Amino acid sequence: MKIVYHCYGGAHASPTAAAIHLGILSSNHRPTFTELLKVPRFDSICSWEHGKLFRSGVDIDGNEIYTMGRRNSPDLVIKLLREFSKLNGEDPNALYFVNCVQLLNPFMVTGGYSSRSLGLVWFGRPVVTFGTILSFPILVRIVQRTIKEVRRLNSVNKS
Amino acid sequence: MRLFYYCYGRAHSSVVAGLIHLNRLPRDRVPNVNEIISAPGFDQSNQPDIGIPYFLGKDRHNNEVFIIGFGSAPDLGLQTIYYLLAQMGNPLEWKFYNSLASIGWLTKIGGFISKKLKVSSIGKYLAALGIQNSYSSLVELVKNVEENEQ
Repeated sequence: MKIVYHCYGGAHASPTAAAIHLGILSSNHRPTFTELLKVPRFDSICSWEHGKLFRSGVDIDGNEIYTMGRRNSPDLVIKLLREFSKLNGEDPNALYFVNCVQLLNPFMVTGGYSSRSLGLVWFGRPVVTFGTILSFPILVRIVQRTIKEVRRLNSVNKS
Repeated sequence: MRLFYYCYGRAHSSVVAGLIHLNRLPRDRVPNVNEIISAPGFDQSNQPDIGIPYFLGKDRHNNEVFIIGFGSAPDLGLQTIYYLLAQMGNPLEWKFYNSLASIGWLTKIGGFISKKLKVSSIGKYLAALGIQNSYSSLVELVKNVEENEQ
């Protein structure tokens, strides 16, 4: 299974979720600023990379983990990825999408927009990092739910 | 080669461009409103169909002709497809042409009335009138596409 964590820009919530999933970040405690800034692709994706699947690694169950930015059009992007995978002869059901934007976090919105859209990295990065630390428990719950659901789907597919 | 005509909702301009490409609508004259309205696929797709490609047929060079709607995010849609195809194979085998650029405001208003306001009878008619006004531009688009593919 290919698990795709997606959020607005693919620069904060989804790389953090992927890092939790892959054990790069511990799910037992909130990360520090330094730990978050070391997460691959954290606060580094630009608008021309939206829609691209970034491979983060393979989890202990053999699932490939990806992150993606899809702006405010998750339905369009997910449909396109499924449909064009199908046209290419791939199995569209091998893609499992996980929305990482589940709660409006003003620090993540303001900081992310300042850093990624306005280019004010000096202001936006600390703000969005703080916001991500605040939302960390929510992301942990999303990842735990995903792992459980994907294990269930994989066992159904095998039997 | 796979050719895609894209517009907002794949209900009007892309359908007509695709049908002209496949010679199911004429190139040497402007069809009347009834011909346009009764063209297969015209004003038929809805909001859930945005992002889903529809296969119209094969042209005389054996290219597969599709239509697709990207809603209000064509740049994001094209980016997404390009990155996926680049990872999976040869993106140059897939070509995308914007049919929305060839039509005027009347078709857009007709499409809005038909699809957003759900008044299909009036919206479809206005969209077809708009297509008539822009028909030469759509024929021109198809000719340019065919020249590119030769």
